[in-house]
Amino acid sequence: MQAITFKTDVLIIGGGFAGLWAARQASTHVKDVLIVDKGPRDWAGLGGMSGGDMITLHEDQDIHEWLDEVVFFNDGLCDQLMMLDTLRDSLPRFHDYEAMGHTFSRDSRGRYVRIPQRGLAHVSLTTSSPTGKGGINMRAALLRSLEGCSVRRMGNIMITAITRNGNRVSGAVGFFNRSGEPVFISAKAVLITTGTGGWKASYLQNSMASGCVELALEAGARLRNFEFIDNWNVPKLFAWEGQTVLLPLGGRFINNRNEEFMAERYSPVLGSKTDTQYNIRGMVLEVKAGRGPIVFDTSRIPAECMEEVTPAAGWMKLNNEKLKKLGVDFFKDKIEWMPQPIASEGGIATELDGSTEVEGLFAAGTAQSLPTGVYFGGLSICHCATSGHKTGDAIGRYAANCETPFFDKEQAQMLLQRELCRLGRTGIAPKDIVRVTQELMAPVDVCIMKSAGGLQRALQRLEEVKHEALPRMGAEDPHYLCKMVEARGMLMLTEAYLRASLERTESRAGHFRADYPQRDETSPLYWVEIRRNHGEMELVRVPLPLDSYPVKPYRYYMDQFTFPIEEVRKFLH
Amino acid sequence: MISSINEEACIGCGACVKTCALDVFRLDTHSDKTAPCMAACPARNDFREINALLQQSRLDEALDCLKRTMPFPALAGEVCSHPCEKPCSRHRLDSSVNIRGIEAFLGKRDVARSLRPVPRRHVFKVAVIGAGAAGLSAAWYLTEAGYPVTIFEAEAQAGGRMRYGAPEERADPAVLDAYASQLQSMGAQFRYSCPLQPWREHWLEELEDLGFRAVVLAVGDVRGKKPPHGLACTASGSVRVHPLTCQTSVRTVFAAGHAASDTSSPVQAMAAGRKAALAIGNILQGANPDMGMNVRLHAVEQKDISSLEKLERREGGEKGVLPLEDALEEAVRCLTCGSKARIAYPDDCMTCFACEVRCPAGAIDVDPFKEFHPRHLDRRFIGGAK
Amino acid sequence: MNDNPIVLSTDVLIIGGGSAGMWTAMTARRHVDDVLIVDKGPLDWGGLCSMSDGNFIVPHEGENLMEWLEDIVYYYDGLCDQKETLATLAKARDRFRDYEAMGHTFARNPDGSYHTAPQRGLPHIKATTSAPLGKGGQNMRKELLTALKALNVRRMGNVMITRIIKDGDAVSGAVGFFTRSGLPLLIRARAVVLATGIGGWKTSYHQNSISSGCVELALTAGARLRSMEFAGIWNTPELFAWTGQSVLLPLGARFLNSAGEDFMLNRYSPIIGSKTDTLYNVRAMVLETRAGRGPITFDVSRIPPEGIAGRRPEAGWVKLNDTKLKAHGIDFFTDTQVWIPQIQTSQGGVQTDSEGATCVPGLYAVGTAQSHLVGVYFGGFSLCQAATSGHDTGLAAGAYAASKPLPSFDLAFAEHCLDQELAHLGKTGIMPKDMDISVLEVVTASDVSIIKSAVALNRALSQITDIRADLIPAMAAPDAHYLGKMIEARGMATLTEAFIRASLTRTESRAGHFREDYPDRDESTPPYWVVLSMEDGKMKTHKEYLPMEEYPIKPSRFYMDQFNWA
Repeated sequence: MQAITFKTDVLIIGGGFAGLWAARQASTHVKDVLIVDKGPRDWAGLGGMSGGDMITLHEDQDIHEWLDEVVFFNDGLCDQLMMLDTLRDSLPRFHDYEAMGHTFSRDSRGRYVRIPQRGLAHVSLTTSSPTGKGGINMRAALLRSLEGCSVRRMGNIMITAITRNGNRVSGAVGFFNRSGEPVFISAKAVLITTGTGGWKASYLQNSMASGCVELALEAGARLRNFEFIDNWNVPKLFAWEGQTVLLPLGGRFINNRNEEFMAERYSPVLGSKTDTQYNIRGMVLEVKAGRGPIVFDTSRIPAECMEEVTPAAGWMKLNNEKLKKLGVDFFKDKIEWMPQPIASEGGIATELDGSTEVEGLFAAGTAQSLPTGVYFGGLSICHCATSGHKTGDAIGRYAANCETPFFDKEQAQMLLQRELCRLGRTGIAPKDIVRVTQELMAPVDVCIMKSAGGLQRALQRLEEVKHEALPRMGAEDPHYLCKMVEARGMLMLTEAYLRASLERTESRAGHFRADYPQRDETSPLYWVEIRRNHGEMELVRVPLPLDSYPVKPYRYYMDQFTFPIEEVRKFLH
Repeated sequence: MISSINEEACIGCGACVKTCALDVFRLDTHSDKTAPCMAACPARNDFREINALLQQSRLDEALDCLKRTMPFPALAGEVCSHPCEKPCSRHRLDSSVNIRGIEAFLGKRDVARSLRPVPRRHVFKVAVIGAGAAGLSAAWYLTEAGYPVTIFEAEAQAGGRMRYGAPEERADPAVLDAYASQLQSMGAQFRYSCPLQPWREHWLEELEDLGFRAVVLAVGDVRGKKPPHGLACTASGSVRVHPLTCQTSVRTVFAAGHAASDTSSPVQAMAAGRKAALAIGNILQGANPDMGMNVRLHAVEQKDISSLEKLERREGGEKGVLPLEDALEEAVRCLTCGSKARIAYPDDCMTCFACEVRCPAGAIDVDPFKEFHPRHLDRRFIGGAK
Repeated sequence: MNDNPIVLSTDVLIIGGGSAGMWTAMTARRHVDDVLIVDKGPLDWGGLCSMSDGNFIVPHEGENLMEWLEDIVYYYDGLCDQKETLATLAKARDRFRDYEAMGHTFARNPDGSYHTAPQRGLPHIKATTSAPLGKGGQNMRKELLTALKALNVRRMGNVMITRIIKDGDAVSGAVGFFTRSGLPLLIRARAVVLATGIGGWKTSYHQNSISSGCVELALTAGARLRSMEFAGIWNTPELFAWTGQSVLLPLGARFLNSAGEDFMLNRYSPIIGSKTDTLYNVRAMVLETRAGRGPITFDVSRIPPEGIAGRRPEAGWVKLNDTKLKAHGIDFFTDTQVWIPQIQTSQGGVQTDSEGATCVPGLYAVGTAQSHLVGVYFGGFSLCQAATSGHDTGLAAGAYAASKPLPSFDLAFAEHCLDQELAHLGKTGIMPKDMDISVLEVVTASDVSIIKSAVALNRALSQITDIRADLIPAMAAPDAHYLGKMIEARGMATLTEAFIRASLTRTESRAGHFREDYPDRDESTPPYWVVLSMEDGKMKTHKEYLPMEEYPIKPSRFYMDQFNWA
């Protein structure tokens, strides 16, 4: 195998916002930083598609009030030290963005526009300006800020394994996903900023992510929080952005009896102005009770607001026009909505500086795990900046003070050959594996009202797919080899999800077990962590170090909801 | 030396390709315009490309090209009336190209091929109900695409009307057997003497329970019989389908052949079976059923061809099958309407002007100066070499 | 083998679809049902015949064959297979009538007699011309083709034969491939006829450059070659092609040196000036240039205006050529053009008996694949000889095939032979064109091909040996088209080696062969042929004396004696 070989001080896998922040910071310590991304060069990952909203703790705000609320929202399951770091660093990063030339919105009196979240009193995000351009501008600002830095960036490279020299990383192997050309990268330290991956639900470009489950487990890192996923609710047939805006203006989820079921039945305090996780639980119960389908009703949105909410630019305008041509009017018709698992919220367990227990291996951004299944608008943008910055600093210092470890080309060849040997072969198509995986995630008792029965059944099917379909996969060209690795990664991610969900025998935050609908108050709060043991996933409960946390959980967001036990039990059979 | 071809003027008749003794030219047959034969063919067989390939004796590629739209050329050679030959441009020069003979020639090679199992590319199973022209065609394309396919046939053997119909509808049973056994060796499963009775209430649910994700209903004429349960029908009683995709009122059920059409020739049925297979591939891969299927037809015919050499049409031997050399000769008669010639191998041009003289469109330009190196050599020639 | 090969079986396989091959097919069909013609050019293109003017050597009624023969023996400087030539002349009238019966039209004078054109100042040798002018060859092709179709002769184009296959000593078929697809082809045959021509050097002169001939095919099959020291050398304008010097010279056109002298008349050819065979003009051009009196130009200024008016090309490619040259600012009739010599085709051939049979049972050669010329040009003879030899060889090969059981054809061995060629397919290596140019550089040196010498020929031999050792193993073919061209290029190298070795063996000057170190005829021995064969992979030459005792004419005068090379 004649591989194209690169040598660098710091290798960053993933060129999203976390990777760009880290590269910028690491390059202040070392001579060479190399970013590789499996997407196009400088596409800048999901951040580039975001609205650019950023959780920022401004000077007039109290960090402890914020933390208290975050612990409340997460039902106690919060890495308080990492969250404190994130909140504390948010303002400096916010100012960094401004210094790079990014603009955040201000109101007519010059104050930053802050939008509170999910009925929380303190935690708010600051929006970018102009609307709809935030992520695009942040991407441009970050790339501009890398000018003059010793950072090389390459696209269309799929990393398939991290190489090690003893317990120390020595680099990575992969291939150019448009040519199949093998790539070896020798590095002093490796940073994973890939995100954790998801289920490729059609939801803008984010479906690209396949994440780092395989990479991290094989390299010896631990994973955490895989029982938590981001469940979104969307129109059944198409995509629509903006329910967070429409709900406060009068948009409602109603059942087939025209009832606003959240307020009437499950969420007496907040109605449907809550986290999507809770809304979809309500939707599921309604449908199960024969009151489906659930539709999104915009009829109560005042006429004077219609102009504001009608898409006026970008893909949303296109989308709206095309739907109208097909006879679908979002604002006049009753559009059926449904829940959809989007992305995992698990991640690699790290220290505060992003280091893992594998020497030289770091993780940052959404490849770390911070949220626990409840959505926090603007947190990812904030955390990518803070953790990217902090980890970039740490990894740069680490690399500056160590020698380049021996890069074992034989080991590299062996690792890569496992993948490349599939190239040019006909076999099961990646899309089929993706669909099988989506299908085994789809049942309500697997992804929303989880039960041991549903999870075990899914796990059994997953094992079948692993043993029957995975070995028969083929990749007719490098494009499909990349998709094949992604599809396999998705299957591994699903396994992690199912096993972790089985392990957490309680309900908390984004995790709801129909057979354990309450919090487990008998044992201390724990993380579910996964590590590789003889090729299998091994699950461990790791207690939260509550002693070192400033907030002792005393109130729980989940307690605002009532999901009747007898209804919930229906999901056990 | 050959200098250029005026692409706009070139009519793609291939006179240059067919007569240049130094083999300087090739044809590009890919065009957004179709040849008249293609437009008239119910299956849209690309005989322009097929003949261009045969003109290069690329036999297997020609067959592969035909198989992209016509799964069973050996049957088509028998049961098709070949409306493609009627609008053939060649007709105005001497007589139309013997497309039937060429198809039968390729068909003979086709049934003689031994096929290996197609590597499975997909997890999801597809059921085909009926092993007539439409069903076999759908099964062929689905199997070839790597789907696990099961064909349910009420009779004891495959072929439908081509085996059990009126005498004039029947094809050679040996060819039918050959194709059924090819399909089997590719990996398709046949369930003979297994009527599915689609008028029963739960027939679709039963198939779903067996793991089938899509169904091709190709049971032949259903008019005047019990209508298939759950599917919308036309006034005459045929299953109502989308003309492009053969999709019925149920998203995952497709109907092809006589089941979905009041009249249906075997070739029309094969074409419909293919459409259903493509549409199923689309929906099982997450796309809209009609992705890539909406093809505009714009036929061009040759006009200025009176200066071309008249060539006698080769008629077929036994059962209309042209022997190899006759098939190759007949393919040379094709005027490949709508293609474009290009200079593929300029390095052997001998500046004879023959291409320019023969080009009916005046599209070729030959520079009168000979290639350089003999001139250079001839200077040495005079002086004597060292 | 990559593809499933096409396996065909036939009684008589004819390699080459020119007029000789077509004549052979016609008569072979009298004895057998299945005759197959394969040609590496396009289907039914008709070979060089289709590009000729259709001029045909035929002694008409009342003419004396012995007078014709006398002229030919004189023109060939005694080096003439008199038996064979006489037989050809005797049969020419039958084939001429056959052509007429097929619908061909020969030109006639106003009095109804055939229109003939005399040659090279020889009183008895005249070619009969076809009508209409410029269409003769194309019409002959069509007529022959119609006859073949009526006889159900199978024909395939774009097929390159790479090897004759034998069963023991006798021929059992051939292998090859389709030059546009690389599809392998195995042909079992009772008899095989080489109708390929002997090959040439692909210099730009109309389409004849396609020829790479059968040197390799014949030698590897065990046949012998004859007269390989003779080649057709033509002179042409340096920059473009122009036909018609044989017409313009009698009208007053002249070759001049840089001093404006009519050097032929003044110095080398006091009797006939430049109205002689091109070969002698070319020899003089070389000497003039060596003496510092080059370049040589073609002067048309003495042609009277009414002469030019009739010579301006009015149709076909020659008209196009003239028009385009004028657009480039070149007027052939008012400008002075530099002319150069150009080596074109070998005039050697496969040694056969009078019925085309070679020393290999079942292997035949016809037309220009046989050798009948000795370096001096004989307009109309090739078409005539293609017809007569094709006719007789077809009968002989047909009868041979009909009398033999189907030979055993070793498929595995045949595939093995073909695989060796197909192995080059799809690989990158030295391109055929580079090989062509390398070989041309060797052979176009004037001391190798025009005024030859042992020193130069040995130098050329070592060059061609180097080319064969270094370039040939490095050749490859990106696609099937180039595989065909590669085999042609290799054949050209082999042809060149044969030309050099035969030239070294003939230690005298005679007819088209001129040795600076042996400028005279070797009168110490009877006239001889140089015969070339392949032994243990190496070319060997030997001399074979002409059976002068059996010949009616004992040479007493020699065309070459009209020239003075000092």
